[in-house]
Amino acid sequence: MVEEQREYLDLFLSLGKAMLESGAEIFRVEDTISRLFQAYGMNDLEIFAIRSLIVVSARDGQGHSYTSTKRIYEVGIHMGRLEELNQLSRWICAQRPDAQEINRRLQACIRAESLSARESLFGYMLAAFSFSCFFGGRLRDGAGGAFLGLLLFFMDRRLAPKCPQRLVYIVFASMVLGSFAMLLGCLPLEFQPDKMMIGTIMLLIPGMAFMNSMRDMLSNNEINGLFSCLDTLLTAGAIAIGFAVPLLIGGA
Amino acid sequence: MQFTDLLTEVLVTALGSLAFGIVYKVKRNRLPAVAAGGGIGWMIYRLLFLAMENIFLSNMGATLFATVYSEMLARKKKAPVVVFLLPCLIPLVPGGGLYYAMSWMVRRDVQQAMSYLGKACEAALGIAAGILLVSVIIHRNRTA
Repeated sequence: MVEEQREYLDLFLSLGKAMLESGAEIFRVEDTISRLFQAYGMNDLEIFAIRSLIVVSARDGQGHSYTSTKRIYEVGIHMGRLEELNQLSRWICAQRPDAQEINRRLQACIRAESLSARESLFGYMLAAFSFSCFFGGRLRDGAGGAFLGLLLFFMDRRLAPKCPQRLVYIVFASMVLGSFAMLLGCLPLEFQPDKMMIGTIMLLIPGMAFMNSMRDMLSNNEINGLFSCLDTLLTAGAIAIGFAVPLLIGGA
Repeated sequence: MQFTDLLTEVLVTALGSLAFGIVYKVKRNRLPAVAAGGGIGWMIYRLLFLAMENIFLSNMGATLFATVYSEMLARKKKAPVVVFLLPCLIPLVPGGGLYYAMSWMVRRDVQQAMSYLGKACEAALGIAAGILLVSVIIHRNRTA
C-alpha cells in the first residue's frame, strides 16, 4: 500500500513537472496536483511550486506521510502538450486508473510531438514575416524578416541546447540576427533593416514569461511572479544589447 | 485612417497570431480561433487608440477582450486559458518600442530613447492591467 502511494506521488509530480515545462502557470500546476491527490484519497496536502521546483507532502488515511520534490531546469512553450496533459489529469481524476496506466499515458503525452520541424520552421518564418510587415515594413522587408526567422529557427534548435547560459545565447542570437539584417540592408534592394529586426525581436521577446508573471502575482504567487518578471526584464535587456552591437558597428 | 488600412493591419496581425500559435505549438484545430482573437484584439486596440490616443487604455481594452475571449474559449473547449491567451496577446507586445528605444540609445539620443521606452512600458502596463482586471472579476465569481 505504501509503495503504491509512493508510485502515485511520483507520477503526479512528474505530470506537474511536465505541465510547468510546457508553460503552465503556477496556480494551474498546484491545482492539478492537488486534484489528483484528492481523487486518490489523500486529502492532507501541502503543495508548493515555483518555476524551478515542485514540493509535495501528502498524508493518507492511515497516517503515512509522503514527501517528494522535482527540480525543473528549463521552461519551454508547448501549448499542445499542455492541453494533452490537462486532459490526462481530468481523465485520471474521473477514472482513477492504476499507476501503470497513468505512467503509460503520461509518457505518451510527453513523447508526442504535435508539430513537425518543418511546421515549426514555417511558424518562425511566418511570424517574422508578418511582424516585419506589421511594424511598417513592405513585403520585401517581410521576406527579409522571414529569412532572419529561418536563421533564428536553426539557432534555437542547434545552438541553444549547447549554450547553458540562456541570456548569453540571446545576446549572441540577437547579434547574429542584427548583423544579417544590416548586411541585407547593404544590398541594393532597399531593405529596411529596422523592420526586419523588429520582426525577429517579436520572436525573441519572452511574452509568455511576462504574461504568466502577471497571472502568477495575482493568484498569490508573488515569488514566482517576481522571478518571471525579472526574467522578462533581463531577456529584454539581452535582446537590446545584442542588437545594439551591429548597429554600433554599422553606424546606424 | 482608411478602412482598407485597418483591414490590412487586422489581416496581418491575424496572420502573426496564427504564426505564433504555430511557434508555441498550439494544436492545429485551435489555430483559427487564435488567429481570429489576435486580429479582433488588434482592431479593438486600433479603434480605441483612434478614439482616445491613449496607449495604456487602448492596450488595456484590447487585453480585456483577448482575456475574456480566451477564458470563454477555454471553458467551452475544456483547455487551459494560456493556450489561447498567449498568441492572441502577441500583437500587443511592444517589440517596436523596445527596438527603437535601443536604436536611439545607440545614437546617444537619450530623450528619444526614453520616449520610446516609456511608450513600451505604458503598453506593457496596459496589458498587465487588462489581465489583472479580468482575473479579479473571474476570481470573484469563482469564490462567490
